[in-house]
Amino acid sequence: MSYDPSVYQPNSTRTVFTTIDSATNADITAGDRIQIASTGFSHANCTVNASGQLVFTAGEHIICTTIENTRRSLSGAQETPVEFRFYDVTNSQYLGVAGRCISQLFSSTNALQAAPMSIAYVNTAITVEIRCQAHSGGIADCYNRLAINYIGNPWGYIYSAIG
Amino acid sequence: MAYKERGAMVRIHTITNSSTALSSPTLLPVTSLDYPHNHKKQEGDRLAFTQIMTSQRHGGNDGFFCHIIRTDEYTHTGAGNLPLIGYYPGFERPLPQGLLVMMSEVSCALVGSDSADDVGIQTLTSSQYNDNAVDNSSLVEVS
Repeated sequence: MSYDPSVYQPNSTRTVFTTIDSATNADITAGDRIQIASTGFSHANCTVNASGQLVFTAGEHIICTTIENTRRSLSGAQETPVEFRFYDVTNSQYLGVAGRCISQLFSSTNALQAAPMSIAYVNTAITVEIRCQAHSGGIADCYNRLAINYIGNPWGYIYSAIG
Repeated sequence: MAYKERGAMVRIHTITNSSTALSSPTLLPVTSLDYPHNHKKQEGDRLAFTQIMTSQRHGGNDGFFCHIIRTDEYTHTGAGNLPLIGYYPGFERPLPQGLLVMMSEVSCALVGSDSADDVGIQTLTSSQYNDNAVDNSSLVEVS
């Protein structure tokens, strides 16, 4: 047995993903899926299927996501929250903790607090999607419908143990 | 017999009093952290999270923009910024206005190369008014 203390090899692997930036994720209401983009996605024991869901085949994973909330219309002081959470499609149950993303006209005041991330733990072979758990207010589009260039992309990550 | 270190490695960097004014709708390097630790290939592919703290200096204009992870590892792109294909960091609205768009105010990226000697934060083209300043920022890396 040999051991080189100068070589550090974390026993984990990581991948970053985003949601689909198109009308695929338009008009999201409670129970709707917010689809994940498969472009460029590569992760051990996990794929993104044609429905924008994460398909886990094995392993132990921590998953985290954010979303975007672009409200229609642009006028009116309407508070529009979208609560989102990872959903276990295989066993028909929500996972982890929910996040809440709130759009509001800038001149108005939000009554709700935002919790912009949803996090869950997966250790079985299941299919998982990002699902809207609750929604109110105006029409919520979960993509950059305004097509303005100072809006970043929603992000999520998968952090997995190796071996 | 191979040996694998178990557990995660976390680094947290905080910058205070950078007081960078936001005055033009152009690429603006907010801050850049020297990162001398990443000369070993084993430390590649780490998650990086950034968050910036902003304030309104004077006047009535608010700004809104997104910030992304800046790194020197992909300088062949000419920009030195993530995201590239397959990388999706970046978030908007660190200042209290926006056109009915809300997202997280934390950026996230996978810093993947063993040649990334510095990692930082950068705002993108946006509506940045000179009333606003970046006072604090932080960078967290998890391997």
